[in-house]
Amino acid sequence: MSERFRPGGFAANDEIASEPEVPFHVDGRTVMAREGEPLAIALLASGVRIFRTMPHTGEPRGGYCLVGRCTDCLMIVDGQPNVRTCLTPVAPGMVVQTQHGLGERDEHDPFCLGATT
Amino acid sequence: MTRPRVAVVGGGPAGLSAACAVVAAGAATTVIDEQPRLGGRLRYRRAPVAVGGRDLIDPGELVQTMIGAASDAGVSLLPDVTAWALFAGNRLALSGSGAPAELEVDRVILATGSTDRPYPFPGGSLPGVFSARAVHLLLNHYHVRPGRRFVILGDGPDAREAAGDVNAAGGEVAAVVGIAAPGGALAAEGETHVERVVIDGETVEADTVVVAVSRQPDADLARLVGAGISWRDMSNGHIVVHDAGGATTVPGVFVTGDAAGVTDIATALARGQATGLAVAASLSLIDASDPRLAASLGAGSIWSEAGGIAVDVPSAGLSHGHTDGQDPWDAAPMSGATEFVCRCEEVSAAVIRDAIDAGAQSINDVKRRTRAGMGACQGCFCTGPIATLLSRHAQVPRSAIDPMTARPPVRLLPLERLAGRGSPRDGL
Repeated sequence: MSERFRPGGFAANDEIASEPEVPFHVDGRTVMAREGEPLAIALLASGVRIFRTMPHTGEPRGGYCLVGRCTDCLMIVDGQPNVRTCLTPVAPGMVVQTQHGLGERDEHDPFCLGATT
Repeated sequence: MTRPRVAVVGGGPAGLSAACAVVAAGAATTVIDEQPRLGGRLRYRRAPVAVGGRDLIDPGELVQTMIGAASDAGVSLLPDVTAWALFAGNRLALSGSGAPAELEVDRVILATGSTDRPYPFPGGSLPGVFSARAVHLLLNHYHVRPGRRFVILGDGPDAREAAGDVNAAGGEVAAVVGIAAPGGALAAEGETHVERVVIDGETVEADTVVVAVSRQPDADLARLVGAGISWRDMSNGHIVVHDAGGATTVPGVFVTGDAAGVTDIATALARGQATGLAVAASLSLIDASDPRLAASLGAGSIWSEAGGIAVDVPSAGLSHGHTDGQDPWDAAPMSGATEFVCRCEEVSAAVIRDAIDAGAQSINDVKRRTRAGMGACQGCFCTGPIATLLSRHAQVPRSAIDPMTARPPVRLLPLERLAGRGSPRDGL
């Protein structure tokens, strides 16, 4: 349903189209993306339409503004919740998960400081 | 003697234009932008830009030229850096790799642009409903089609442009819905994403809805630092009060481009240049009687020495992008329990109506009673609709409605950053 396409005449923007493809992981599946493009864009290109479900209603959201203002695109990225995927460039091997509610943190390292107690 | 320091928040057409003008006058200039790439709307608009004295320029080519010119002139360019607060004394709080935590400067130019106007309607928060800007970005910059059949909401130039982009990308425009008629029934339906749109009782199969009902200035940093604000109907919502050069009521803080009032790219370029020169004059880097200053503030062409770009200041007025004769928010019924006025906190129009019926008379009051505006967007996408509901149901004129109180941070900010530890995810 959603897909990448080859445009005509967008000369200065073809830099995006020519980036190498890299794999990342979404809810256990492997998805291909163009290196450096925002996660949300890569997800939409691969047909993923739901990024999170909301805390009060449980309703799905799938991106709205895509410029970092609305937070419909928040997902758990490499274990960190509430990441604005529309502003986060893809890196090879990134692990992305659908966020349900406000997201949960590791109870032993709630602020993701990486320290051992 | 050290050069005066200027920070430009926003690296779109106005911000880059302002930076080029003020660095040419001798200021140490920094451009900050939270997007991974500079350029603002120049990244995703297709229509050639009429830049004075030259042929029509492709926006993609223009942005590369401007970034190159700024860089060559010594502007410090910081993409992927978020300005999450502006404090008195022209101190910016920054978050992002390669950026200082705090940047104190002599002048701040807010070129933070605009966001799409929200338009609450039943099903408006389903996956598949996007702002016009999101669709421009997807189709024109990233060459991704988010769906196949598009319903476009809006009557004005933004809607027409969106329809053109969809067609050029090989998508199908299933319908363009004018929202000018108040009370027109509109609803998006689907199990977990848009599957159809019901327009005045008629069902249209579609998988994507584009909300293209014009834009609103995005100047939360100005509100945060206490700049004077006034409401302007028809086109813009809350506007930062500013003079011809962009000076706000806060000394040292200027506003330019769409952040000063929604307009087109050519005007944003010209306005940015005018503000850059006004800032230079305010720093005594150029003389107040410099002819370039007068020329930039009125009609005429001037050269930016750094950028080599001649920009015509159009004599036409500011307004752009609003529908002819009808404010989009006035056209939205906004009454139901399935229309989320506050997307972040999931507060419906019905709940806000109830708060107003119970006595709420201001946006802050609605916010306290319902949580609307307390979420991550900090009122960006609910202020206009809430103000409209207040004017409708509490008999408060919109001109008397203040925006909600701004608090830092104006963007999501992880505690790790405040603790001085880099967050692994700069997109947070």
